[in-house]
Amino acid sequence: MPLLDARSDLQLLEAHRSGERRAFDELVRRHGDRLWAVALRVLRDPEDAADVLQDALESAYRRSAAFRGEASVSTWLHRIVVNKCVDRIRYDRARPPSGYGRPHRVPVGRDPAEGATTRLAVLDALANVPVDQRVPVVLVDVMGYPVAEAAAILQVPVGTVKSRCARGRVRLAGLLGHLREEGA
Amino acid sequence: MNGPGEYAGSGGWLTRLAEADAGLPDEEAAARVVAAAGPGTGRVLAALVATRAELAAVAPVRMPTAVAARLAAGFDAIDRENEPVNRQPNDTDDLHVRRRRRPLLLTAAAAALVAAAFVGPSTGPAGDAVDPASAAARVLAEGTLDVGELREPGTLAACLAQAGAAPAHGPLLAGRPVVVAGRRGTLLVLGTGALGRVRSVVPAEGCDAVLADLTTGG
Repeated sequence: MPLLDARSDLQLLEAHRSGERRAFDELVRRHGDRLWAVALRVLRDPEDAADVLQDALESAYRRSAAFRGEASVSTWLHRIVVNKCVDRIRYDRARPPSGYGRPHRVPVGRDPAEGATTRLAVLDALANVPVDQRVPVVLVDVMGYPVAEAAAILQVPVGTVKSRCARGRVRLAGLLGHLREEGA
Repeated sequence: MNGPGEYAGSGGWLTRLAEADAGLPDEEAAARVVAAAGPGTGRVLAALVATRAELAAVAPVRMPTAVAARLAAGFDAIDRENEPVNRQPNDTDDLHVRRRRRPLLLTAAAAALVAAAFVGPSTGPAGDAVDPASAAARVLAEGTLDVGELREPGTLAACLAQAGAAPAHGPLLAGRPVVVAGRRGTLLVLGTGALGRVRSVVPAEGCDAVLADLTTGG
């Protein structure tokens, strides 16, 4: 069993740049579970999440010189994963439906029999939130990151994260059945 | 001030209340918005609290073994691309590291996969020594799929049935010929349908017995 590596994330990234093969592995060991969770919660589908995580981390592995140190290594890795997730969602949305697979979209709306908003499992509901709201909701409300950290990952102001989270929560509250229209 | 009937609008009463709940535009102004929101405010705020609680209760997840293995294989492939430029071809230290296939990324579950299943010495098909404890992890990391006719799902199903093994419940991820306790067989690493869990099963040559069958991970 390998001993824990005491080096900082930045030291590991520098070691990776210097050609130390296992330095980046240690970074993935430290942050991989959270990066995986972000990809999985944003994309919903495990195969899509695996594809995106691989694409993102291989990109980071190849282009570690692009890290300028303005943010932490963790923030940088998260940013790459989140951006790849958004790219994937937009790519999928632009493609014509194939008729197979990719069960991202769950029909949502009023139950005609009861006149009530259909209650969905929270993960299905998340998949029906617009991506610009879904990502900050995943980071802040699901993953528990501070708003400032989410803002750093997304490279937007703190107020933008709060606003997008607020709008996402409103939509989710409806999808989850916590909010119902008067008289419904 | 509008009321709760403006449900889930794109910029109305409910959204302003949710933004105030999130601390916008600032804590003081948000408090004023909440205080002035009128009837239904408490119900909406309770709904937002319940929503956040449901989101916070989403179970944490760990990166599945198969995903870690794919990452390891991908990093190895990148290293190999770079080798002609950066490495001497007879660099024995480098060769040693490459053979280890990034053990940090191959979780204990994968590494233990075959350690528990293989009780005898294993060799590769050409007789070269193979470390049985890392065989499953290695074929996953390398993406090795050298299983002959067992690649065909019908043949695989028939072989498992004839050998007396449970049917496959997930895709064939990797595999290769092995020798277990002196008998030739084929290591098959199968998905299980459960994220992060893989099954390692070794039908004997001729599919007349099961030499190993273990599900781990996740």
